[in-house]
Amino acid sequence: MTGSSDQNERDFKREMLAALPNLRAFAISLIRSRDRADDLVQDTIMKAWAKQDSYQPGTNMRAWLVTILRNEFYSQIRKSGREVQDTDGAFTSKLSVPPEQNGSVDLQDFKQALALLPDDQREAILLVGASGFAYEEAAEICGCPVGTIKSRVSRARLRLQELLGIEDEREFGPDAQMTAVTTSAIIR
Amino acid sequence: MSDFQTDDDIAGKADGPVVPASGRTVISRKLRELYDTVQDEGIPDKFLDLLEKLDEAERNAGTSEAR
Repeated sequence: MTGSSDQNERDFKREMLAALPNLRAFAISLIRSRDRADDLVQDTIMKAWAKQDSYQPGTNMRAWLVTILRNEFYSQIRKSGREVQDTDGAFTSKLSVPPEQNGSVDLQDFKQALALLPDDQREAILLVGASGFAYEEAAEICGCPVGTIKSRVSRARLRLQELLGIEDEREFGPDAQMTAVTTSAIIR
Repeated sequence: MSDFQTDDDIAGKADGPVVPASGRTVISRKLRELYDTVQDEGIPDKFLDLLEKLDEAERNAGTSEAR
């Protein structure tokens, strides 16, 4: 008996290790602060370890871990009683500089634009566009209808396009970008 | 990467304006780049150590109480 439970434990640990780089990429992209993101990953590892009996070996470890991390993230926000936002305005002003030609978007600018999205839109586009989850999986992770995820992803894309002034059939001049940035400044 | 679904499945389904395919490509590429920069770092030692400790604690507990 102990033999098979040891085996399960090894499998669990191995699956968890395999999922960690992607989980950490999600956390860092979601939160921007590497320290906070790594703290969150650490909390997630401990939570996941404690409830490993509820995990079915061979099922979707990545989705399971992301769900735990996300719950932890929002419960920490609720506890602290405030939105966790980056307070430096440096990137807002940087974004007001019209970006270069279509298609060449600096990764730093992209991160900053991503940080301007509301949490729910940022997490949706990360789960679907970067973590590689299907819309249905993302919906399950976030506990909302698939249509909600689709519309969040769609809005996130539009907003990113505006902020970055990337490839356009339409004309996105400096004015359009200034408006976008100014609006976000007011909201914040 | 086959891991990522195409962006085609959102086109035409979402209400209102949709980012054109060319723009979606740029966004997808940047998202992957963002992840890659983190994933390429591998797993930080502190997480490996943590897992090792959790594993050890469990093994020790396992010897005193039958699981």
